[in-house]
Amino acid sequence: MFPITHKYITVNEISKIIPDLDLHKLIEQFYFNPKEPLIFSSGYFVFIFTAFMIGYALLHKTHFPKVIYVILFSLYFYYRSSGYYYLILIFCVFFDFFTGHLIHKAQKKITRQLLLFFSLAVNLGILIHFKYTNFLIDSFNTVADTEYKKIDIFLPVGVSFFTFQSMSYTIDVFRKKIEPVKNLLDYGFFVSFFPQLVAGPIIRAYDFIPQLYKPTIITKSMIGRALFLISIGLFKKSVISDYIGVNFVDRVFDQPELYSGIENLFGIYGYALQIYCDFSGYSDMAIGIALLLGFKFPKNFDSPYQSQNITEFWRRWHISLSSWLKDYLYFSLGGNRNGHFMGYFFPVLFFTGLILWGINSAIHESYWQIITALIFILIFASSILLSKEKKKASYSSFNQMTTMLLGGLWHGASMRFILWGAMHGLALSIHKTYINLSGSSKTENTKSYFWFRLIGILITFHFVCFCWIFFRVSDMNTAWQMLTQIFHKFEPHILLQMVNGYKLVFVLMLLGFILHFTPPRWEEIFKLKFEKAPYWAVLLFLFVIVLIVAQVKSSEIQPFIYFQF
Amino acid sequence: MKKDQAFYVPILCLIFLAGLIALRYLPPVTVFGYELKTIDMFSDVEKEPASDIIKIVPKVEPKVEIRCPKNKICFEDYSVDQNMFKTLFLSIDNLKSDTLGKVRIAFFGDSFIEGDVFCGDFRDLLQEKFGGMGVGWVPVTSEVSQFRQTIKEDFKNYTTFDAVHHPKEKVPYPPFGICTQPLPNNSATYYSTHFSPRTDKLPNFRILYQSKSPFSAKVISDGNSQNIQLKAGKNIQDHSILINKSKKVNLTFASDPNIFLYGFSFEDQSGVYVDNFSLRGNAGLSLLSSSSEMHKSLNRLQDYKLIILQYGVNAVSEKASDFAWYTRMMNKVITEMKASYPQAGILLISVGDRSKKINGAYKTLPTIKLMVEAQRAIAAENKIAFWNMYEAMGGESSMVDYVTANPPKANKDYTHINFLGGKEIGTLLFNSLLFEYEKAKSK
Repeated sequence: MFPITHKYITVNEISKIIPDLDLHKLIEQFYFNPKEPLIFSSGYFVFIFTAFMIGYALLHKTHFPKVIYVILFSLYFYYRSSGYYYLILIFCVFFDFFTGHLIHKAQKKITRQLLLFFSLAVNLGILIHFKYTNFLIDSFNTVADTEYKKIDIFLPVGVSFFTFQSMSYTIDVFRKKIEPVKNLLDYGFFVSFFPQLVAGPIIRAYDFIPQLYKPTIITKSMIGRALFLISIGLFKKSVISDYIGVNFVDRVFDQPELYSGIENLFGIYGYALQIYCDFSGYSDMAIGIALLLGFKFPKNFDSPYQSQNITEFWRRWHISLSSWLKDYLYFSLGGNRNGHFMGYFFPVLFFTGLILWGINSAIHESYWQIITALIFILIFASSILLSKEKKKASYSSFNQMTTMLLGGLWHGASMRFILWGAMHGLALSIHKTYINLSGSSKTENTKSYFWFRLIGILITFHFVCFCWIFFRVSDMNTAWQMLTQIFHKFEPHILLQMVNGYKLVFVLMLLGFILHFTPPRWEEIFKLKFEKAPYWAVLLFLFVIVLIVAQVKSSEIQPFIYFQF
Repeated sequence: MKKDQAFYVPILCLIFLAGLIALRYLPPVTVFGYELKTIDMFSDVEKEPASDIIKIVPKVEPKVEIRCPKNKICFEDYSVDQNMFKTLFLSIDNLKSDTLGKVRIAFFGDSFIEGDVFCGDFRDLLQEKFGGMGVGWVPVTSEVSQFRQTIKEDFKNYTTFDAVHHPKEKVPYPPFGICTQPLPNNSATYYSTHFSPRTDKLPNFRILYQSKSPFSAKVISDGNSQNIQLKAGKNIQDHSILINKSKKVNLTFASDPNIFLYGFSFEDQSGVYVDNFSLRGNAGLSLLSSSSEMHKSLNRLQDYKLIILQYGVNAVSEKASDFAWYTRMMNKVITEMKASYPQAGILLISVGDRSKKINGAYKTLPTIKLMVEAQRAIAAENKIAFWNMYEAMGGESSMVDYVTANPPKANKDYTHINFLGGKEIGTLLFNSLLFEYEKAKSK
């Protein structure tokens, strides 16, 4: 503790700068606040990150002092968002570090398998407890017609990310892909590293750990690229995503019946942009901040809406998650070479559930559910039956479906996410079969190829948008209402009125999509320019972006406009 | 280029931070006529600026003591003998012996109750307890006909005028300010909904209208067709149609510039009916845009036992802290209501909470609290009953809680509640009324 007098001096000094300083509020800033998780775009983060970087610049050439320093900051960063749940993070570090070593040392295969199983059970147990308890209670109540009460569970931030990161480590050690980390602190550094801690990207041990053992160098071009990524991320998230969300997309999804079909359609297009900008913008900031510390993260989003087919989409959307699922779930189940009980279990459970839901609704004279269920099963079956190599196709379809069902569930604890995953799973299976039948669809660079590409992009984008509906709505009824409005109350004549009424929303949407569809080459050229530009220019760019963010943050919400039907 | 320049990072951060802090001291900048908003890096750790709004609101000193148990929201009855709801409660009690009796409540309001938000739940709770089936009055056309949950509608080929958006139109506005003219090939179809057991069938209904000459209409209910002749008549006329609990009913009218349709009233044989007269953008003034004859004519048809006035959110602005003009206007409105509906009790509902961004965070608009006080003073002055919806919602910053609730109870415009919030407030209003009812019974 400081002596009291000392405290007064500092407070007095600060008071000179801030005449209306509320000391109580200042102290509160440092404490855990569940209502305001610490995000990169907050003013408080700029303060503490600056302070942190002073120390980091002094320590970055050392190893252990640097590691301890960063771990302490990361834990504080986590505490600020999730309070004492940082203990879970510490537990994960200890547990997986030791399990990793035991797996490495064990000679017998069965011992290694048991240890891995134990490690996965603990990690998944943590994830399931915090994220899925109530969903499981709910599902059980629905099936068994019981009335167990939901439990009030705090969801620590980032739990889905760091448990996946830990699991990637133990599985890689088990597969002998990597050596276990030498000491506990290094492993703690990897799991708790604050840039990707709360919202990804999901970093792999074999990408990250080697960087920790190399001397940390932060070059001019890294700083330039980092500031560019932070600026772009900030613009995507705090300008485009936040503005169109609050002033247009949210209200359409909240009450679709108040809006005509065309507004609903553009609300869905808007959401496609919103979720991309929000998610990829935050990833960009995380990648940029890690770069400032001298660590390189792989790309997490690669202009996903430029994809020509659904398989490509999943290679470009949330890459760190989709590649994680592919490597650790799809391949573990056997990929397209083997079947596995688990690989059959989830799809069968899902399709059985669909059929029961259909029958149950048919009893109440509502038939679209059973039709949906049958269409799902028909598509799934045809993806296997139409394939030339049926055995291979059945392995891959079932395993693919399991991967997507669980991938959907990873996004949130609700049937809607499972349904969203299922639709993507079906599309992926069908596309695989299509490629299997037609051979690789690489036509030569002809005119027809251009049109072929364009149609592919349009179909893929619209399919993804259709799936987003179920991802975003609060319940199935709302999704149904949206589709009803689009198909029965389209009202195209209000297009101009709508664009006029929501001018800035549509300007930002247009800008967002234009930026999204710029060729990747241009983007690289831009990044190189930033790497070579003088510091002041890059900093000025960031500063201007921050000023724009401030305009959006303090702008009033656009009033709700209901156009005459 | 492989040189380590790590030391530049904190330097850049410090310059950046200094730049952001410096923005505090920047004079206001205008770019192309747009005032640039600056950033205050210390806004989270500063004391709240004292509100500079001067209170020009008379403090209400009720002549009678308002008794209310703790943690309850009660009506504040400022009538002379604290008996504002006498007529209503008597008529409700008579329902038990009168199989054809109908007790009607008029709920005049603005967009806050549009689409039967709040009002629909209040009605349904009353009907559940005291009987009644049907939503009472509905307009011929409505922008929220798909959004409304208590009854749904499709319509085409009508022209609708309302007193807020077309005040200069020379049309005979009814008290609720909405008036529709049929065009050739018009059609309106109403559908029952699964909102509650009292909305899953459409009961019989009445057509409210005015016409210089007799005209014809066609009604198809669940496949049964009826051709109807409506008499000529001034002010507001009504004509009952029996449709015997249908799932949907379709109406078409002869087209004539002399026909003014005022809406339909869906109602069963007996029970309690709440007419939702919501009019978007209305501060209460539209009640004066209708003639006294029209008011009396509506009262002759409906014989309201209670009139609820829910206004104010359209009269609250950010800066106006002087509600003298509003008070004058509402005094006029209430005087008119007392004269036209002498048997009815009058209940004034205050504004709910409304938030606005203040320094980047949503807070209750300071003038909202003044408006609530002004409305309470109006109620006291006019000796009618008052219900504090602002307190019922939870007072200060409750709108923020409504918006951020999971699932949300209000829209992100921080002004309007949604159906979930409506259910909550509708239940609170019903409970306040029931408390009053039980209290009156025990006397």
